[in-house]
Amino acid sequence: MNSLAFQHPWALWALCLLPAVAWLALRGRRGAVHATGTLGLWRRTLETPRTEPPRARRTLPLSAWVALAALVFGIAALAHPTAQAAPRVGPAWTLVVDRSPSMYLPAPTDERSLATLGLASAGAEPRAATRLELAVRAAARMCESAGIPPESRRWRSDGPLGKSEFVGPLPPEDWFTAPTRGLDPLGASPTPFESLDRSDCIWVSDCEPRTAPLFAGRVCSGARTVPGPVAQDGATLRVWNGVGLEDSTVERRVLRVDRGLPEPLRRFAAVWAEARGFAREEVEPEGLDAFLPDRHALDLVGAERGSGPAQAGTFFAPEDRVRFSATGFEIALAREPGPGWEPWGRLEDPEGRRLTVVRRRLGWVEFSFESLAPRTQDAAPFAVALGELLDGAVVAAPEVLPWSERAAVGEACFEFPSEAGIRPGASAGPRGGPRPVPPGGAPRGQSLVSWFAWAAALLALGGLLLASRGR
Amino acid sequence: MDSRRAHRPSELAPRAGHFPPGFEARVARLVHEAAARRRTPREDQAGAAPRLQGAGGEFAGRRRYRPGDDLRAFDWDLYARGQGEHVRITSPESGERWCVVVDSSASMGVGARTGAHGGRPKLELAVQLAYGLCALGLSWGHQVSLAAGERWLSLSSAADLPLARAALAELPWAGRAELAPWFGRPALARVRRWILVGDLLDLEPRLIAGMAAARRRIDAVAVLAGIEWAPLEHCGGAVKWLDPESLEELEVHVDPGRARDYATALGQHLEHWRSALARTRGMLLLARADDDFEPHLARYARTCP
Repeated sequence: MNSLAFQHPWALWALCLLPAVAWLALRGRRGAVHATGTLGLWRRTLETPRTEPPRARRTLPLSAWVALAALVFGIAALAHPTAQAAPRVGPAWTLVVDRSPSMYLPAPTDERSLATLGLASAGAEPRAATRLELAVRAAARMCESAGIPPESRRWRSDGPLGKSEFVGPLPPEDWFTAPTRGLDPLGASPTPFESLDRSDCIWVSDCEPRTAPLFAGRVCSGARTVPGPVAQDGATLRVWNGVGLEDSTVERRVLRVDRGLPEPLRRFAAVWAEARGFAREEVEPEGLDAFLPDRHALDLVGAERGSGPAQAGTFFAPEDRVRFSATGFEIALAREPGPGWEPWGRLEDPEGRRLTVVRRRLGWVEFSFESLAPRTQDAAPFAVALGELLDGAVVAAPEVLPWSERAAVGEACFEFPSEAGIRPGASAGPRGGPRPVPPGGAPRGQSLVSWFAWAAALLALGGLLLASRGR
Repeated sequence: MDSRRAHRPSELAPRAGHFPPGFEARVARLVHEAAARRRTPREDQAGAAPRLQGAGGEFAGRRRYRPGDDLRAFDWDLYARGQGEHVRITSPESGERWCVVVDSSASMGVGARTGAHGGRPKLELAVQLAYGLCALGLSWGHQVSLAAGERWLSLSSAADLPLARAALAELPWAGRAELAPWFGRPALARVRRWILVGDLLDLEPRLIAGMAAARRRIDAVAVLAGIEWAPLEHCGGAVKWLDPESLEELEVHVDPGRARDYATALGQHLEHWRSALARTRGMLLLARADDDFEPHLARYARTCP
């Protein structure tokens, strides 16, 4: 459904002439004089009661109505009408927001990037602190330019923090806050931009995606080089200074292990911590409440017992790569159903019932095993499976981001979605030139000037024909 | 400035009527056919035309011969004595006196509007019919008088038709209709058949009743313009009607309902005329200004006794 917009709306003031034209038509209608020799008969006719309702006496002739319609179309043509895409009802545009770690790095402040995003003139606005803020602000401005109302903007994030959606003018505040415990680069999955290449989608990121969209619009904040730590290996912190790497010595990060865990788990944790360069601390469950803002890597804790009794059976690691003989109980899942929890493997008792006995989230792994033993003599599969479990839950070191996140990966970009899927530069790959749409203006609709002008001309012609026939 | 004059339609400008090319030939052919139909078998055997003017009447005098005169009335005695070419004039006995009266009032100009509604004025068809009626009466042996405008002509033979044509060709539409005084002229007291050609809108049918007492037959041809027959075909909505003779104006909203009322009134008016004429054994022909004269003239010739 399209709506009508006028580039020269001041021309519509000429519509005020219509009443005057109608009045003139009525006046001219009264003044039409015809000679007749039957005036006496007409006078006699007037003396007889009317057979038609008198309300029809002062109506304009059809030709005058047609002429007025021609005038309306002519004036509308002068106002340069264009057909605009009407605001859609419901979530019409999906704004796919990249919330990878690099999006929380400082935003570019150069005028060129801001001009590309159409934010240069917004001097009164506070400068965006992060790339995410800058990109989201530009995306919101694109929505406003395209006439997408706030209730039709669906913000979507498919990052390492999980998929979440929000409908409104801007994403919720917590999206802009970098996770205080850091992010796990190993568990990070890229935002699935390619699966959302539709004309009702906007890709919001700091750099151009690997594949240029055919239909979706895109807003890139631009990504300049941000030096900083890129890795920590034990007590060594590797810092990229923009040119090369510098090593510095820092305190090791800590793996805390609940003393109540089965012996095989505690022994494996010791080996894994040594291999990863973490310091290991065995603590009582109460000691896990102590907050380690910078040194915390992972906590291995015993889960609270659920309602059922402990069951003996076989534990299957994910994808059934390894099996344990284990005894455990159902974790009280309902106690903390917050986001980020992920069950890991399953315990099947001889009767085929399945229990969740292991779950993890970032920086935290819970076990409800009472006993645990590999079913084979080869301990390697056991170690590999548990190693993957812990690697997927470990918290990244604060401020440590992979080099790929810190490197400069592109300029700012600002492109509206393409209905036809034809976009200049699309074939040029991810570095293709931006679409030549001025950031300061709304996308121009199809001009209807010629249609309105033709309609006015045809109506005027019809009016003349009708007038010539006395209608 | 007179506002009424400002709105005056172009058709009110006086203009002389005219005859189309070949008009006389068309009239002659039609009159010849009508005369042939009226000729009895006995008359055909005799090879005579007793209805010719003067045939069988009392000698009334002589006049100069004009091309087209009946050679049977040629006075050979005077020619033999070298006194010129003359024809004998006799008072008719088998024939009767006709008088064709043409209404040339200003209302007969209706229909001549220029532009989109352009057409023929009523007077144009009226003068053509008048000429044809004169020719028809002469061919049947009647003495015909033609009254048009301010003057009248006495036509005694087909040779006088050019005079009638000249009088009619220059006849303008102007003024008011003054048809009634013709009936009281002493020179036309012996007229037995009056034929009125006009719009019949200025005469009251009551007048015809008085004529009936004098044993006069009155026929009439009502010529009306298209806008008078069917006003809704030419205009609609608010219309200001103007009477060309009195220059009176009347604003009327012409819509289908009003047009029906008008058609009813017009029908009643013409029906009054028809009944009034019937009391004189006369008939009423209806014509539209844009019509050809021939169908109407042929109809009159067919139905006229």
